[in-house]
Amino acid sequence: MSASRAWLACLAMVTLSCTSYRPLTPAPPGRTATLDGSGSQLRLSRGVALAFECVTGGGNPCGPGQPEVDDSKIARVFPMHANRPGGYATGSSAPQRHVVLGMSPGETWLRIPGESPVRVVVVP
Amino acid sequence: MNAAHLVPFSLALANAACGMAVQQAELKAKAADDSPELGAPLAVGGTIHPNIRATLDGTASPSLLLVSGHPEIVSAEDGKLTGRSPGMTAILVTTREGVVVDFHHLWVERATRATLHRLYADGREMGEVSGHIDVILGEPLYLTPKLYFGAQELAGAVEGKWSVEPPLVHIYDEGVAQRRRLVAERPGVAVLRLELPGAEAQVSFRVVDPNARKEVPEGAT
Repeated sequence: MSASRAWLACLAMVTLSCTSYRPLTPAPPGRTATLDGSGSQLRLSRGVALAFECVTGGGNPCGPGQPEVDDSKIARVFPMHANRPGGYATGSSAPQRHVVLGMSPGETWLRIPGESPVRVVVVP
Repeated sequence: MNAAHLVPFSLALANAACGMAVQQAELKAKAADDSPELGAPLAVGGTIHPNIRATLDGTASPSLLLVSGHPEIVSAEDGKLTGRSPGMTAILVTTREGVVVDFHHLWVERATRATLHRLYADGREMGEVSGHIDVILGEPLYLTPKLYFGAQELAGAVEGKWSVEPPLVHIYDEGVAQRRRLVAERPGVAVLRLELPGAEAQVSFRVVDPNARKEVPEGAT
C-alpha cells in the first residue's frame, strides 16, 4: 500500500469514527427513544418512532444512500423530509434525516452507506 | 405494516397540532366525528377519519398516506384510524414513496366508563344525561355516547349495541357515527342500554302522553 493510500485509509477511518447521529424528537411519556453520546447505540421502545440526522465529522451531511436495518422485524428505517434544515458551518446542503421505528424487542444494526453503523436496541 | 388511505391535502399554513413530532404536518379528528382531537387516546373499537394538513416550506403538499407502525394496535385503512387493542404506536405521515413528513404517537385504551349525552337536532350538545329522562310521546330525542378512560375522554366513534326494555321507544340510526334518534311510541317507563367495548351506559325513560294529561279533570292537581 502506497503512502497516499495509507493516508486516505486513515482519513477514511477517522471520518467514519466521527459520524454523528443526532436525535431530533423526544420519546413519548414512559417510553424510550435515545441515542447514546457517541451515537453508536440507539434505544427505542416498541412502537416508538425517532427522527434523527446523520452528520459527518466535518459537519457535512452523511451520504445520500438509503439507510437499512439488518432485521426489519426489530426496527424499520424511513427517509425523512426536512422542512427547515439547520445551518451547517461547513456543509452546503441539508443534512440527511431519517426516522427509525421500533417494531419488536431485540437488537439489530442500522447501516448508512459510508458511515459507521448504529446498534439498535428495541425494548418492550 | 399497512399503507393506508390517500388523503387530500388542505393548502393552508397551520400551527402544528396534537404533538406532531417535527411540526411539518397537522393530524386532527374531523369535527363530524364529534370526538376530541388526536391529543386523546383512541378507544378500543373507536374510529376516526383524520384530516391531514402538511405545512411544508416552498411547496404544496405531496399526496400523503397514513402508515401505522403496529396495525394490531391501530389500523390505518381507507383513511380511517381504528383502535384495535390497548397499546401505543407511531402513526407515520408519508409520501407515496415512503418519505416521512411527520409522525404522531397514538395510544389506544379500553374504555372504563361511558356516558350518554343529549343533542339538539342540529347536532349541538345539550349535556350529559344524569340517569333519567322524561320524554313526550312522539317527540324525537337525540343521544350520543362518550367513552372515558378514568377521567379522560377517549377519541373515536365507537359503534355499540342499543336496546330498550320494554320497547316503548324506537331507536333510529341517523347515519351519523354513534348518534341515535329515539322516538317514544307508547307511554310508560323503560330503560335504554348501550353496550360498548369495555363499558356500558344506561338511562331510564318515562314516556308521557300529553293528550292523557289534558284528560285530567278540572280542579285536579
